[in-house]
Amino acid sequence: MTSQFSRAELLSRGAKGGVAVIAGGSALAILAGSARAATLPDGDLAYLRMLIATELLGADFYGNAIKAKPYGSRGSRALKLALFNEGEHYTALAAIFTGAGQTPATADDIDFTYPSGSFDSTGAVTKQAVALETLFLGAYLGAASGVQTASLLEPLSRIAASQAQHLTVFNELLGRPGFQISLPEPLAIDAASDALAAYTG
Amino acid sequence: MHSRSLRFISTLVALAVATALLTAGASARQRTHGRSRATITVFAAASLTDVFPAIDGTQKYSFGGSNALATQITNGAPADVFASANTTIPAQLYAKGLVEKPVNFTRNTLVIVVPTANPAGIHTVYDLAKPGVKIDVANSAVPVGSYTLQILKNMNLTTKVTPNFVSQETDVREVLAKVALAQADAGFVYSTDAQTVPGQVTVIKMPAWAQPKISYAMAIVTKSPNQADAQAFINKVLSKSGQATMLKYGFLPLVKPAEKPPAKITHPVKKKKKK
Repeated sequence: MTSQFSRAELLSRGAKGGVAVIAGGSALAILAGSARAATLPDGDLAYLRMLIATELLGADFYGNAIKAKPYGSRGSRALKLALFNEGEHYTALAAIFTGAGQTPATADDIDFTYPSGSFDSTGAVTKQAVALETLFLGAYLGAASGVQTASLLEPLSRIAASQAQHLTVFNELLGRPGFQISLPEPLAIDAASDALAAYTG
Repeated sequence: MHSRSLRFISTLVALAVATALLTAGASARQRTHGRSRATITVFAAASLTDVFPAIDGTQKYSFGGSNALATQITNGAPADVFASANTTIPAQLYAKGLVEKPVNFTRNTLVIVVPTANPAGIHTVYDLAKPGVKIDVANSAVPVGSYTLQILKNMNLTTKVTPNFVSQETDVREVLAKVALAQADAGFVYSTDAQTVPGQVTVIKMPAWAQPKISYAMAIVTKSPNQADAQAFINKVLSKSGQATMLKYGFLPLVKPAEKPPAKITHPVKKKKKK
């Protein structure tokens, strides 16, 4: 957790659908910075809308993975941390989105589905986590290179870094080198959207 | 012999008249639980064309664009119940005192339909931005037309896709018909409408992250002389069996089933300091 987050405040707001939700403004929005109050162009709002869905997917996946208990202590801790991070990412994005006069989607709005057997074994959960984190990282990198509002770059880049950390850990759990690619590929919004669609009912 | 024939004919005529009167009476009024019930007139969104008669086949229905039906009600058309494919039109009529307080009764999602042959090669919504693609939509005054514009805006595709609009229909079924007849390369309809023409169109899902919230609302028309029967119809739609029928026809439940309350999210590594 970064020093700029007030975890106590975040958590005091409670959780809904596995994700902490901030309905109004919050000190947490330091991450959101000046972007919160900005009138964002439709293109930037589209990126945020899609990224919010990726965070809901991440929270849903890790919530299910934790219930499946596929790991020993190290892996379990990684799943719980990842879930916690996705919740904070969501909250930060939702604050920006709300500040721009929009209503962020919540876990109630989207049903997620996973390939058969995704939670049946340690390997299956880890593979799925790697696939999702690759998607998330690509989506954030694509958004960072696609948004027009400069003040969005900081929150998007910081969340991308967090997703890259997840990817490293789950790659290692899968027995692969934790870091492999020097320049991870950004995903254009249409490619990210199509990839996301594979997990929505 | 002649008088016997006349008697026979007059008996037949009397029977025919009696049968006609009975049939007419039965169609106008149904006897339910000892109470005489009127056949009511339901003005309903075109997307409800198949499901409403399945819920209650005894009523008189008029299906069309919700906005057009609202205009008819405003002009005094004799409707008992108004069911709209959005919540804003019934709310507007309620504000004017034309209907009683509306209630939400189902939800839906938007999809793209393309002719089975798919001559324009449409596979995702992003393909609709390709030059020369002929897209049929409902006009923006109709709920489905408004939702179409909303989803395109949500995806930042408005300026790329709207130049390909070739026709704007007055209700969702007209869009569906044109695409099924391959008079357009693609159209935006509700997922429930797409299911009504299997084999004639291919359905392309829209991203869940971009979907507008599509809720349907219905209300009793204030001037209806059949208030109790109109309320009974609404109750029937909202009932367990009514909602099950809505689901059977592809509509979404009124409220997503509540899941178990999630565990409180706490940082799994940092531990609280001991006091």
